[in-house]
Amino acid sequence: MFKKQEIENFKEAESIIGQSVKVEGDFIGQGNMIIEGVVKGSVSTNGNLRVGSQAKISADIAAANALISGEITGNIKVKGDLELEASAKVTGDIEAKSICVARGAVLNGKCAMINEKTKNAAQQPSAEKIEIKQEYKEADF
Amino acid sequence: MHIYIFDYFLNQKNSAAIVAKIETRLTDLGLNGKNCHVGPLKSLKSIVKEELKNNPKTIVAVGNNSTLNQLINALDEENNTTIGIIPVGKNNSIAEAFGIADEDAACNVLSARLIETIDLGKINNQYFIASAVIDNKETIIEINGQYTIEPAGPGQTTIANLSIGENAGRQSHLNGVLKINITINTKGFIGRFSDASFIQTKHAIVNNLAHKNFIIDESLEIKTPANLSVAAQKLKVIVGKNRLF
Repeated sequence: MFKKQEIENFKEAESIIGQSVKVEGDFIGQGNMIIEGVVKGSVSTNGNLRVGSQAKISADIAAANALISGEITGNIKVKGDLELEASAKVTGDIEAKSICVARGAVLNGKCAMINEKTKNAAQQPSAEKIEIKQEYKEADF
Repeated sequence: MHIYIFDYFLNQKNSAAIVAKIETRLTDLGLNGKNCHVGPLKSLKSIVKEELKNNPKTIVAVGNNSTLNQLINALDEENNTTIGIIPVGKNNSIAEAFGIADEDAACNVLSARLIETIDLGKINNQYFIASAVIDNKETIIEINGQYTIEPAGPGQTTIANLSIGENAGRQSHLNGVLKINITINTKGFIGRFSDASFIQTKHAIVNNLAHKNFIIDESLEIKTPANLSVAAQKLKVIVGKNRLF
């Protein structure tokens, strides 16, 4: 699913972290990112994120779409597609619109799917509370 | 009026023929102006400061990357003078990036007078046109005060305002960012291979715990810690058609 667009998505990566590079802190970008090295802290981008098989990330991740092949200790929050390849090891919670997990990938954590229904469901309880309060008020009279 | 500043190394006897050839060609093209020669008692900086009082139209550096770097750092902050380059000898990668192959081409380029405004990189209080390079060993780069990058292998870190060289390609000269390229060279079982990283930023602070220095524009050394930023649309230069931007 992801692989068909993979080349187009990462052709012009704004940030590339190679295998022999270590990043510490809030690694924030605007475009596509490719991480093959070590990152500690947090990773955030408005574009697509690719984590290579040699990468080791100890950080919470936020991206538009993500393709994971390496090791991540932290929560992953993706607005669109999240794909875990066979070599991926994720210890943390994941949240995405759609998820693809390859055979052999390791995931230890909660998994939540985001779509329009779950978004609306999250907003509904406050409206129901208002209706119940009104019923009780009418019953009092 | 054009001011031509001939670098110190052109005072030698073996450069006399080239200097005469340049002066003749400029006269033929109707570009003759005031020729100034850097000497033991007359630095490039002092020549520029003196000539700026007369509001010259163009100041042309006759020499190499080092000559051009000294010229841009001798100008005033509010300066609006157009800069040119006539490359002579080796170490002229910046002139090549400007689309100027040699001294003959340079005279034609000056005659055509195609002007571009470019960003300049700034490292501590020094400007640079192309790049600042430092060894990877014990180098730590802080980006925008948000995160740090540490290369963990031998190689070099290049902080480029204008990428030059074989792999430069066409690029924007006004993107207002510095491009940080970290290259790590390692030996594998089969042979050597290199690992490349790339970041874009407007501001970086670089420190080197082994006290190694930056080399800017392949000519000048700057000590660390170094504060790097971009001076947007800072300099007007005369360029050729085959420029890399």
